[in-house]
Amino acid sequence: MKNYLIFAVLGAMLASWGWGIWGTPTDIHMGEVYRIIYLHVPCAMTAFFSSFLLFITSILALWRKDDVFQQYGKAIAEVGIIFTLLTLFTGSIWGYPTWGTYWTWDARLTTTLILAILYAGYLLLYASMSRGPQRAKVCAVLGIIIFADVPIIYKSVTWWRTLHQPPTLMRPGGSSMSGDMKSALVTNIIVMLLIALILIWERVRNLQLEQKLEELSYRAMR
Amino acid sequence: MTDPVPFITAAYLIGMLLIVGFATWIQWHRQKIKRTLSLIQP
Repeated sequence: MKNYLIFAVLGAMLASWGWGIWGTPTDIHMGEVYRIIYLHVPCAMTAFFSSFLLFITSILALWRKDDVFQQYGKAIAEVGIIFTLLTLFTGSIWGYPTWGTYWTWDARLTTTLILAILYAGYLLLYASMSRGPQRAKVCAVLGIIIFADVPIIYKSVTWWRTLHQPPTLMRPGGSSMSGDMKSALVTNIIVMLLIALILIWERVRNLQLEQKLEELSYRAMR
Repeated sequence: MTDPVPFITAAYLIGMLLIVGFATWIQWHRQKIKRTLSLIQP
C-alpha cells in the first residue's frame, strides 16, 4: 500500500475532527466539552470492531492452520489496544469536567479497562510463546474471550446503574442527536474504522517481512 | 463552569499522538526490516 493512502486517511481524520470541533452546534446539556465525542465514540467503536475482527481471525486460526491468521491476530490486537486506551484516555478527560472525576469504578469504565487488559494479555501471550500450533490455539481462544467482553461493555449502561450516559446513537426508537451532530459523528466513525483497517494491513506486512527475515537468518546460520 | 478548551485540546492531542505515532512507527520499523533483509539477501 502506498504511503499517500495513509496520508490521505490521516488528512481525512484531521478534517473530520475539524468538522466535529468547529462545524457542529453546541450541546444544550454538556456545553462545548461534548466535542470530545467525535474522538471518544469513534475510538470505542474501532476498539469493538477490532475485537470482532479478532474473533473472525481466531476462528479462522483454529479452523485453518495458517501463520497468516496469527499475524492478523497480533496486528488486530495491537490496533485494538491502541483504540481501547484512547477510549479510556478521552473518556477520562471528558469525565473530569462532566462528572468531576477522571476515573470511577463504573461498570462501563471497568469493562472497557478489562478489554484493554485482555488485549495486553493477548500480546503478552503472543510474545511469550514460540511460533506454532500451540500459540495459534491459545491466542485464538483468548481472541474469542476478548470478543465476549464487547457485548458486556455495550450493555453495561443498561444492566447496571452507571455514571456513563446510555447509548445515544444506536438506541431503540432512534438516535437522540441532532442531524448535524449525527452526520459528523458517523463520518468520524467511518474514518476511524478505515484508519484501523489500514494500520492492521500495514502491520501485517511488517510481520510477514519479519517472518521472512527470521527464516533467512535461520537458514544462514545452518 | 470548567473551561472546556484544555480538555478538548488534550483529548485530540493524545489521539493524534497515538494514531500518528503508531503509523509512523510502522513505517520506521518496515524500513529497519528492509535494511536488514537487504544485508542478508543477495
